[in-house]
Amino acid sequence: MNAKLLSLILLGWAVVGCSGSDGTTSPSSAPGVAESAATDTAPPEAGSPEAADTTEPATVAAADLFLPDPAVGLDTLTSYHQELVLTSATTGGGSELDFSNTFASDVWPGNAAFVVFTADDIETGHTESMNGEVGAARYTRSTPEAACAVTWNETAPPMAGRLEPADSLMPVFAATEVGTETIAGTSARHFTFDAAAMGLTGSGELWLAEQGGMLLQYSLDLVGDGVTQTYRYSLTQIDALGNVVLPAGCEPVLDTIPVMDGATSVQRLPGALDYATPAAVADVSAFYQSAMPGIGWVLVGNHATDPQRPTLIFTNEQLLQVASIQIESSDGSTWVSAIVRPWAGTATTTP
Amino acid sequence: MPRMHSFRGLGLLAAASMVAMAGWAAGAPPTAKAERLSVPVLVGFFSPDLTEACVNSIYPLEYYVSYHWEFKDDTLYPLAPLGPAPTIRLTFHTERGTASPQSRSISTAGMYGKTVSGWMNYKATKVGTEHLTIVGSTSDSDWKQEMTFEVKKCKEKVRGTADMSSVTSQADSMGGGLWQMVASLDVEATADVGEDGVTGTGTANFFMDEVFQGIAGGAMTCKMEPPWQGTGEVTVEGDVAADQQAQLTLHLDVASMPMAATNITCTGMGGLSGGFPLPAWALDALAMQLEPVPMSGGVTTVDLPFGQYVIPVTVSIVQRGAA
Repeated sequence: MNAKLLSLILLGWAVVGCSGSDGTTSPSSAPGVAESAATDTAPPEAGSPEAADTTEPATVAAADLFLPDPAVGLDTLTSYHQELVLTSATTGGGSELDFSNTFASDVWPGNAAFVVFTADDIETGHTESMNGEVGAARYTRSTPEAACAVTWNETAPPMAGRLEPADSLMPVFAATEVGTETIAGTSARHFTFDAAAMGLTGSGELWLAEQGGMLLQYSLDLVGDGVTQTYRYSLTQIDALGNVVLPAGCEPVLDTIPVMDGATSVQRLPGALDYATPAAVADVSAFYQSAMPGIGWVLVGNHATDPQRPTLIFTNEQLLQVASIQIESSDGSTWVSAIVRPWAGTATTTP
Repeated sequence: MPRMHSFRGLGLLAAASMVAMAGWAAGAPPTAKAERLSVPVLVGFFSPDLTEACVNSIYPLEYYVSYHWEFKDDTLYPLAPLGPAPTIRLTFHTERGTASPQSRSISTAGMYGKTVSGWMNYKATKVGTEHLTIVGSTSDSDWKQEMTFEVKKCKEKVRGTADMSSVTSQADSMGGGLWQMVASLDVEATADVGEDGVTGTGTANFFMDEVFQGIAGGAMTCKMEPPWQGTGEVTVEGDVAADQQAQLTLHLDVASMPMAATNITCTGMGGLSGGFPLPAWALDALAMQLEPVPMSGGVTTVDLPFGQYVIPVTVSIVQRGAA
């Protein structure tokens, strides 16, 4: 089920005393900002008939929020970095109520995303993990010290979206525009909001990009009895991340060796490629002998002592690499296994 | 009926809870007895979805649990609970495998807006369609996310390749600078994954391929006939631990490879041709064990001690299901 649709259904459960749309100013036409939240009305006062009427069931839709979709516009960008830090702290500290969560993402929409999740609390201490993807290459690191594991998965849904940090921000029911500022080099409209509209004690600020309406920054401080909670969200490096950069220790998969049409069970790993094809062994061998020279590889060996399992050796003097491609008939299919290794490239002397 | 949703709904869920309590905050006083609201619990997998799994392989998966609203009239609400913190019972449900741990209890104290993550190991045991489900249960409801994928009986394909140029440099020397040798140790093996372990065999090949460098001021091609080539045997053993990442251990047991005498024949230089013999020699026997590598697949580099050399071997392990 679509997550947003389900969320809206869940909103329908909230039928207890709705405060309705009590926005204080108009965010006008910024994408993602609800028109219904744009009415220039004062919030209802405590004890007023409007506010006290808790007997009338009501429903709330996303459109009643000032910013119904905090992730608006992100999919139009070529790249960005975003960070959400949620902290909870007690006056004395050291309790279960003291914790922090951090989501830090580098995103190239439609292409790649890496999310580092960091948590600190009294129960488990500090934990940090990374999950990410570049196309069908999925990366995982369970701890900062662990190796970066990579798998190839062409059919699984992308991870981006289900880890959208902007979606976990506290919703804003109404906000007041206070001016225009430049945030991380981007002209932005500055709004403030009062957590009272949420039934909480505290206040917040947010900045929306003048162009595109993206949420650039969000800050909310909530105060309870001996407990404070803060939300800090920022969107930076908009369209400025450049080419996809893998996290330290993560290797790119081998995507420079071609794959035959009709390939199945494709797996690309760092320095390796493996797949099955209905083509005959001889046809696969001919394919690589034809295709590889065009991309800088020179065939130096065709070892076919067993004609049903030949191994082709290619060199690439520019990359100083050797590609060993083994073709074998097995289980009714032809399997191709390519592995690339460094090549000394220069002759060595006898030690 | 369990509810399914993803992380994306978090903000709107919070909105629902806030709206639910806004009337109280604006005018309705707290009642003496805490009134519970619905309890949105978000559960799911951080890790990328599996689309297939191999019998007897173990897949570590990271999950998350996030818990938000509890008592409507807590004094610290929504920052902290008034009443005893309820417990979320996390359970993992499988149909074609096992989960470790199978369940976990998470106290919700201090968890408003908090996300907790953890790792579980999924081990595939039976062929078929798996519905791996993470369920977060409170007294209110069950919340779940499901991962569906195929469990297959797989083979492990092992490939290894190493640049042996440093130990065959004498061949370069014998060429008088006319060619450069591409010396490869090429290892391949296929292993079956059974209930008790992983066993397989394969071959190790030593290939000597020449890259002819030519000579200044002339066109000439040279060819080595017959090519230098040697073959040995490889055995593969795997340890399928019950609750840990399965490891493959590769034993290379390759007898000394005799390299027959061969000839280099060159043609060119205005129709001239010539050649010279290369003497027979032997590549020393290999009897070694590579460091264990994860059976779930990947590429690693292991060191091969060979005489006075330490040769880096690039090893790839790929799980092959039915094509």
